[in-house]
Amino acid sequence: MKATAFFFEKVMKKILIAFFAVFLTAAAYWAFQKKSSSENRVNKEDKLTLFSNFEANVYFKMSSHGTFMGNQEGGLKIHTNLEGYPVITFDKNSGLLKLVWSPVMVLKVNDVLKEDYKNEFDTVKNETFYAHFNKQMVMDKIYYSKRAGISPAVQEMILNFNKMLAHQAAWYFTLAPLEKTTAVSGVDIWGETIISLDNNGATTTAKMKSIENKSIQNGTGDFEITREADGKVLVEGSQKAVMGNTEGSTSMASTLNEYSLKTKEYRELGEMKIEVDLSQLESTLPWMVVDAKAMKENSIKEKLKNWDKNKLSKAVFGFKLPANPSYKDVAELSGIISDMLYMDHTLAKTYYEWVKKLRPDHPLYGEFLKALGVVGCSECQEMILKITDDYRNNEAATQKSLVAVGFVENPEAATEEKMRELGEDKKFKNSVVADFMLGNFASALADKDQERSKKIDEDFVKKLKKSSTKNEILRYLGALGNSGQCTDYESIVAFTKNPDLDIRKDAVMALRNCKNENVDKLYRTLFTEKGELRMIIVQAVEMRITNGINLDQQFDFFVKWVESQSSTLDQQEMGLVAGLLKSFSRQDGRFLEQYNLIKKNCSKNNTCAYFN
Amino acid sequence: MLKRNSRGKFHRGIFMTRLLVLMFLFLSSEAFAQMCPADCSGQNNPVKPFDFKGRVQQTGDPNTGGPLQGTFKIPSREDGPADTDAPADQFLGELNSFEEWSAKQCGESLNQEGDVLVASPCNNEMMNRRRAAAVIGAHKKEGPALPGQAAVNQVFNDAKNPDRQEAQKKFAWQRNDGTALNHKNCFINANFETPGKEIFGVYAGAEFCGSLTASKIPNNNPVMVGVPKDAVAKLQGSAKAGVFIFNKDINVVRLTAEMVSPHAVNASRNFTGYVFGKAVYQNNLSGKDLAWDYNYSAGSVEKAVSQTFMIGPVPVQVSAGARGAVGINFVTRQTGLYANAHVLPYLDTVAFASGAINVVIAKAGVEVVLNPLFRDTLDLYGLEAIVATVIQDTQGNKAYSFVSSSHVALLNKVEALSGQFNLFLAVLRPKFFGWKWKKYVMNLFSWEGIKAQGYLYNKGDFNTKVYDLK
Repeated sequence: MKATAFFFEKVMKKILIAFFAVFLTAAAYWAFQKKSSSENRVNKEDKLTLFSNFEANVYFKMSSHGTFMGNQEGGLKIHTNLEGYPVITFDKNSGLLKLVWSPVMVLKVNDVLKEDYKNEFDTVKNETFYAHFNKQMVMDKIYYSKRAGISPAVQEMILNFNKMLAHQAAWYFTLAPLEKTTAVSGVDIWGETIISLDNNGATTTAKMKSIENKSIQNGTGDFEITREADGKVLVEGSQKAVMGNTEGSTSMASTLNEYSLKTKEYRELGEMKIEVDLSQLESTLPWMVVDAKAMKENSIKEKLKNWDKNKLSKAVFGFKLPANPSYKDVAELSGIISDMLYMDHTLAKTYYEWVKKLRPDHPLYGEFLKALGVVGCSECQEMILKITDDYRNNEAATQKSLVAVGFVENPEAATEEKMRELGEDKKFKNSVVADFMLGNFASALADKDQERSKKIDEDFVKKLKKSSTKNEILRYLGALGNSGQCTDYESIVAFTKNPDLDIRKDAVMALRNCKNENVDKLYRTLFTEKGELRMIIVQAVEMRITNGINLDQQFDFFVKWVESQSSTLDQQEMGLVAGLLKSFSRQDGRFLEQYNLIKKNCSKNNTCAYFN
Repeated sequence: MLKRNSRGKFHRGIFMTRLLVLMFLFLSSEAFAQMCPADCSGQNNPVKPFDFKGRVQQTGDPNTGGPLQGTFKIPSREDGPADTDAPADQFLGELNSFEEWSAKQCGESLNQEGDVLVASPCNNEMMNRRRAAAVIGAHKKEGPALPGQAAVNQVFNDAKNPDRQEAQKKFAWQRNDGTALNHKNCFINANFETPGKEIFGVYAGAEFCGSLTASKIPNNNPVMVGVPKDAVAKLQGSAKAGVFIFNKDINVVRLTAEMVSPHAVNASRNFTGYVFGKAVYQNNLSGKDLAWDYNYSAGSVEKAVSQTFMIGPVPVQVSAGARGAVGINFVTRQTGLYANAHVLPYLDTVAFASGAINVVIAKAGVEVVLNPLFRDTLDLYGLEAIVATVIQDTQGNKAYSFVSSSHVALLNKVEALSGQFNLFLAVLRPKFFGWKWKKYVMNLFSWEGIKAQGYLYNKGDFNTKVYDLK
């Protein structure tokens, strides 16, 4: 018994342990291999994105699996925009221009690059490189138009729509050259028609349906596709949201034919001109018109399920105050403070009482103000103004409270009045900030209450005209710049000719949010007059870019300027303009191509240092 | 459950066996296998989709088993009762469509247990390493160290040395070659941005120039005119910091600054701070001696951007944004031909997200595992100065010199805490006697904690150019 017991206790146990150790090692090795394989595969993708801006050398040949398209001959020179991989193929035999999305990309690189990069691809055949993509990756750089006349909401929708299509990667459609087109259609992976195109001889109209027979796009897209005498393809204003399904394995053709597109055509290839009736969209596209409020509340409820007012009170007043509080702790508590107020506006009064107990230099003091400002409810605004009054002589405290209330989306009339009063109180140390924030109100009210918005702007114009000191002029130019309503454009323009350079500069900045196209013309004129205003113009234009104001015009101007006149720019100006072009390219993917082109040619005018 | 043997010790054999078996099951489980790369990228073996609609039509109302009506009740919460009306046709149609997608693309039926990872950056760890390396790599350690305030004050005191005025009266200032002083030191677009901006990223950058200019003294002859009247020391530039959310550039803070210190007239400065493109602060001043040590902190504003992601055939809207404190610290000093500034705009961001859909069969949400936080502080430093110094030899003989100093730098500190957020879609399907939820998860973003500090630009000619007084 003893021997048996010993056998089981010692020997058998060791055997078991050894067996499982071997087994575990094998399992771990298997897992490691699997992981390595994953990393290797994705590594290729990552590296690929690094040089995907070699658009001049990149040719695409795409095909989905045979069911839909089979292998297509032909390829077009195309701009790959980092993580986005729109693909256009032209089939010489059928005369069809096809726009597809596929998780497989083929690159043909020139001889110099070939050796360098061949290891980065899955396969190489006939000097054509094949790389596999994860089709779930976000396609974030789809070209889209920001032309005047399309509202920001629609632009946003279009962008989202494009991204959604890209992400789904389950649709494709086919365009035929104008002369052949009568109607074409696209089908989804389950064979349902999702896109149909009707052509009246001049314009192609796209109608798209979702995979579940819900209309997802009820607008029109203008497609003008012509073939020039030399065989080149001109595509203007085309819808390019572009999908192809690649269910299962993919197959590739090995022959690529190059079709060059002119720069202009190339750039416009990605533009989309879609006009959408939002009300119609709402009825047909219920899930595209998002109930943002419900969306946010659902998530907040989830986050707050373990929080209540008492717990928050304990957290706030039990908050440890080391010399340098962890910003993580502050930020996390800040989120709870904001979220609780968002869900229950009556907490505004409680927050006011708590703020009174905290000193203005307490790290959470600003968090309460921030929450009141971000939520921006009527009670919230009232409480911030009470706090401002309580600390009226404390410059640092009122600065925070004014900025907090100065960015609310719906300023109450009482808040506006109070801000006006603070701005006019010259003893109040932050009266300039109050005027700036009143300017913000004019901007916030522009779409909601034009009358109030206009009055704020007009009042500042009157004050500007009456100003007798430099500081007064700068103050009202700053307020008018925040307003951006330009009710009296000429009054501001007059100050761009003032003998004082600071005033001239602030006048230029005061026009930055003005949608009037004359501003762009003025900026161009002032920019071409070499002088001190150049740099401030570049900064103003960059801010216009961020707000998407008249992008196309400005881009055309600055590109032409850099191309032709860069030698007249000094070191600082050249760097700023290079930064400006980069900002353009961030705002609108079409511009990246031009930016890269200028960057590529930088050695000609010795400006490469500014493009790093 | 651990068992004890007769001696009161854990029965290690059984424990280890169970542990190893559990580990084996984990490693070989479907849940693990569905992690990258075998995600929903079409590499799983399709399974036959289940016909929920057909089954319900056969079996009747999923709650009661009675005849199927136009609507039936479904639960609105995972652990709640069936309390919400749903149109039967729409619900079952959507369910079958989703099942078809899941079966084909994920190789998994809604009837199977367990969560499905729909999409994830397959190489999270590697991506995070790359992101961290990119951030660290952008911050260079080399270059002259920024002088502390004491050192700056010392130079400033030198400039105020009474002997300077005496020197100016007595001596001409001139370079031996007689050329005008026209020095400009710029960094342009020194910047960094974190990778991953298609979901969430942070960037910071600046352009900044320091210049010293003076006209040429005629005829290369020593003249007793002192420093040329048109000599100017100038610092000018701008700094900005912001975030990318779903690739949208949100410029959170921007500072434009100009400090002009001419020799003949008052120095002047003009600072304007912008938050989300709106001016929130302005400081214009002129005077003979401008000293400024100021801390400005603006109440922060929240900005959100929405984006649609597809989980299979279901579009899910996600709203993500940045909120945080924005502030600027200024320490500047200016007098004739002397301009020095430390400007530190900083930016805190906290990503938040929420999600929603509008289909009957599912609900969506965002799981924030940890808040990704970023703090970025730019130390924009500039010094342009021509100051007089007195050099005294061992015998006590004094010689006067003007020293031209120039230093522009951008020191950046970035700190990020780890965090990630996932988007999920919980799909509801009927089961025998009740309802079952199945979760499809998409990892949108993850970030590992990192700290980096270094120069994005650093160039100086500190105390290197000495112009002898004759």
